[in-house]
Amino acid sequence: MANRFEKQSRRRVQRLIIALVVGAMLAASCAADTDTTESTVSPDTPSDSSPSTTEASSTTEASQPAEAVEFTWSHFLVGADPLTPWAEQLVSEFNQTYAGQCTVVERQVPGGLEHRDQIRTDAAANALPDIYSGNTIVMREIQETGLVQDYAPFVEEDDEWRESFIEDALDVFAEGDRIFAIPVAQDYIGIFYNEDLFEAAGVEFPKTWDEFFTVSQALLDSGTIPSAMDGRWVTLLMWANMIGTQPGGADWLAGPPKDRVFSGIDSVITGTEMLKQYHNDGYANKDAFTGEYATAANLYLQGQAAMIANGPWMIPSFSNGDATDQVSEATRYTTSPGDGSIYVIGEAGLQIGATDPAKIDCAVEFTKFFTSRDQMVKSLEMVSRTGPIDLQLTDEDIAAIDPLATGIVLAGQQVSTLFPHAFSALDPAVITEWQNQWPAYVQGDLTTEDFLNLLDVVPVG
Amino acid sequence: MVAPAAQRRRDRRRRKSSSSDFARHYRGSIALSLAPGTLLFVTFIVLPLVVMAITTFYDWRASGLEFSGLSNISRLISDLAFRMALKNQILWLLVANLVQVPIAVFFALLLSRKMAGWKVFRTLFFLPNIVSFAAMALVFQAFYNARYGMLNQGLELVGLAGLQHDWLFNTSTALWSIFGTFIFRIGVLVIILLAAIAAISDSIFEAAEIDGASPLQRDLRITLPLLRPTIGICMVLATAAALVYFEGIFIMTGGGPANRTLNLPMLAYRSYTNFDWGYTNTIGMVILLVGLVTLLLIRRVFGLGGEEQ
Repeated sequence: MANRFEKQSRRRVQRLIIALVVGAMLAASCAADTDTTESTVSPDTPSDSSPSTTEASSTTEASQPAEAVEFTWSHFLVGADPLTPWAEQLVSEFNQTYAGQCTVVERQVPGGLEHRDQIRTDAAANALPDIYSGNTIVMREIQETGLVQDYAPFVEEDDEWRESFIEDALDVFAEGDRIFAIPVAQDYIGIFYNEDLFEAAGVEFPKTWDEFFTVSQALLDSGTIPSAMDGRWVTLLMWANMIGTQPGGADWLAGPPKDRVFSGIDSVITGTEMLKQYHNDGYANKDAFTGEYATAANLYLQGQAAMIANGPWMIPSFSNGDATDQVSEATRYTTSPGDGSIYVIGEAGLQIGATDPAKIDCAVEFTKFFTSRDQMVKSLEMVSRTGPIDLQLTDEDIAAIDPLATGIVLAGQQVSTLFPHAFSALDPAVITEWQNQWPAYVQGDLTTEDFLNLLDVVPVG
Repeated sequence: MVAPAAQRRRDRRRRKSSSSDFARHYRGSIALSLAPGTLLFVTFIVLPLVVMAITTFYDWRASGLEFSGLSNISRLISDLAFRMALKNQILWLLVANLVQVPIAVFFALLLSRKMAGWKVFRTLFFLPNIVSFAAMALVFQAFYNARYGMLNQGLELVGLAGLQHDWLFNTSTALWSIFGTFIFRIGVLVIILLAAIAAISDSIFEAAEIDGASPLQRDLRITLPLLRPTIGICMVLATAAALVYFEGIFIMTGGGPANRTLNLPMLAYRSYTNFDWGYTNTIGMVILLVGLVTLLLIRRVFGLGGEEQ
């Protein structure tokens, strides 16, 4: 009996060894294939550190596409994001222009917040993408990990690129001599309003906050929801407008996100109570606390609400079929009541996480391409958004741009106060708590002092 | 004539020896066949649990890992959001065990009488279980919506417009509105209970009928006592579901307003997205402990897994 067991065991061991050997051989052959593939995009492949567009085109013909350095751009300009069409052409044109030298491979993470979390996770795993998009908070936060590359030497050696930026734009992401990110957006964020609904109510867009309340009452009386809100993005834009246009409010918003104090600040108290009153008077939609941008956007785009605070990236919604024809034709865009406007440079930026010199060079070239005049004009034409570049637009350019986009820039340049919005000014943890406590505060469960005290004690990373 | 006791001892020795022979000769094969399962279990269950337990004592953020002793635990004690989440979680477990499971038992007893159309109702009860929590949450979000929701419109239709409000973002009704989306998800529990009722011998019911027991008496005196272990199992399942319920809260309220719908998984998620990972894992340990205590209680009350079985 035992002998039979032993024979069976021996046979099984033999079969196992054969299986392992065959498996090992297959694995080895796969590894060999991988090695071959990797060698075609080897980081050691020499690359021109600063190829001009002309050089790149001529190199395309001479060199093999397989020699190009592949690098990853991680971003969220995908799916329903309004900038998606522009991002698609950007990648396509970059890869054509730099064929044979650099190839950008996209990692698309839908949703700005989701992408932010992904980048934070990458940083924690010491595996940042070669280059990635993000807002001010992300750029500053990841800079603190010490994992990002310094743009300063590249900016220093390229006069033309450095001088293409508007004054002080590069200071947004500078720390000492380091430039840890490059700003790629410059936004005046105002309020869209439906002129037909205003005319029907017999009012014009208000210039002061007192008028804002009076006009909202007239709109309500005419059967229209005065302002579309969502309890998060749109509401926080209006909160920033109400605070930023108070004395001292702009300076408070422009302060650093860490160690920010909310309670006891007059401008914050006034702005917060004004917005609460606005809700309590019934001037916002009944479902104004969902925390979903779509709640507010749909109301405006369907012509049910007369106003919505939002950035110029919403402009394509008025021509791509998202809005009704009436709303598309009647929409105007202007700055906040109270003679102020949200203005942000560096709402979006690019940061390099690559460590390989060839990939760093390609990432820098990608940044230059991204912020080039050609691409920024295309961005303005396609998605109504531009970067902190001195564009010197020609009449031909202006004719191709949506008047809403140029109008907000002109209006923004004339206001007396400029300030950043809450998503630039506040830590993400504070924004989460704001959204959490806001409905309870508006419904009277918390006093203004309680509400602001709760924001004071949020642990900020 | 061999004494029966000696014979039994010899049989036992023979079985033991044969079983140890088997184990010795197949040791390699047994180890090999157990290896994949063990590897998966260690990789995906044991290791994460160990990491979770260890990092409870660390300040773990995107910038790195730093030993912080008991600071995460002391933070828990002073964290108002955690206290609210724990209170809500306990309430959630009570509702799951004392409301959801009894509802399932009630409908199982009703369906077991096989009245006309009982199969249709059985399917209807099961339908919510084949729809994801996320999809259900979107439906309920629209149902409760303050502006166009069916609930508010229904109230207006029946002349109760005064009761209309923002069900999900009013601090008094938010949690109960969320419970409403959860407690009728009883399909699996009803099916388990129906199977257990079907397994009860008909002769017991026939004897009770001959003795003149009414249907209600049969349910209360025969079916329910015999269902005791099955009800215990349903409570274990309801507890497990309540402890991991996340999608609905995430989609409908995000834990607000003012943390009124916050439970422990949602709090852990918030902490995770704030990249406070050591604290997140401390909350994870609390979820584990709350689950263990609840399961031990259910086990004790319903005699599950013990000698009674």
